[in-house]
Amino acid sequence: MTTWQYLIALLGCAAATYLTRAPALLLSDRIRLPQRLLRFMGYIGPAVITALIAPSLFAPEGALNLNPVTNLYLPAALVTAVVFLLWKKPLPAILAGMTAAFLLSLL
Amino acid sequence: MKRPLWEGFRDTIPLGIGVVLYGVVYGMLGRQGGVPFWFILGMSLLVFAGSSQMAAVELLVSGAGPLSTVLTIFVVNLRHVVMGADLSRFLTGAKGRERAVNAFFLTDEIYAVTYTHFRSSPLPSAGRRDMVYMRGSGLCIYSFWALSGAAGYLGGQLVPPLLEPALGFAMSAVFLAMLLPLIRDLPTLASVLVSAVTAVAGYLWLPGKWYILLAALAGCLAGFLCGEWKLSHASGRDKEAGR
Repeated sequence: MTTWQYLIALLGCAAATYLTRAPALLLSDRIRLPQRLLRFMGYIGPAVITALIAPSLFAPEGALNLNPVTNLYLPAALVTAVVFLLWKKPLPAILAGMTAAFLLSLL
Repeated sequence: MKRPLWEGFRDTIPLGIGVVLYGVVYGMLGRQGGVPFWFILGMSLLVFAGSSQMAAVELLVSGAGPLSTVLTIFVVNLRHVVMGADLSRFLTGAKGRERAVNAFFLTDEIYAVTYTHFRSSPLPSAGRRDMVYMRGSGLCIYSFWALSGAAGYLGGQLVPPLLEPALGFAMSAVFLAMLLPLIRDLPTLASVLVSAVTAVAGYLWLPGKWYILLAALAGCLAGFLCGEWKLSHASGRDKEAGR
């Protein structure tokens, strides 16, 4: 990647992000988004986050790997989820998951 | 400092401390991927969106071009539209220019703090005062986020290679911890499952990073259809019960 490409990515991301933040706050008096569209968009958060992590969890080396012995991300994800469900706080869950990934990599 | 500005800043400090870990992970990811420091810091200062910045770094490191990265980040951020539409009903007294400034600070954390604050103050809101409160909240997360990202990048070289598997899992852990509290009903679960299957299949068989957009769309559609079905089912039952 050249410096120019990084610059384009940086400014592009800044514009793309602001464009999703500004319209609803600016135009809310004049435009009302239809309720159905808002309900549809309500799923963007969970759907996008899932799409971002699913391949790195289930196919970390580029090929599908559902074996929890050779794919240490699966047990590490389980630890993260269990700690979150018990504690209801994200930070302990993240640290527990990272610790689990570290310990499993030593085996 | 003006009072509401400080109040907003102060009320957000606990969340700001939580943001530090994310920031450190973000900075470390950038360093590990060989991304220049100015890009890592510049993203925090100009984009100011945690999950998108991590996703952008991950995409660029894995060889995606700048344009497909920008397009993906746009989709990742579309959820802000819902948050903005939700908050704007509290901001009826605010001027356009103030709204334009505050829009920059619209993140998940600031949404959460500001929403709680607005809910507890009587409607219609005071407008100007609340805009300043929201800006204080934004400045808190903004400074914590930028500083911790820089610290993660600069301190990243202190991490021994032995710890790299933990760092490799860091982004998944961060996103998993964001995702789990969102799964509160059946439609959201359906959305997550469909998105996961689509993403993995698309990752294995589609070129580039299109699987992210495809999975997001499929997941939204699944959640929406499941939710609409639930709604119509519930209203049908209500009608029957009311007869």
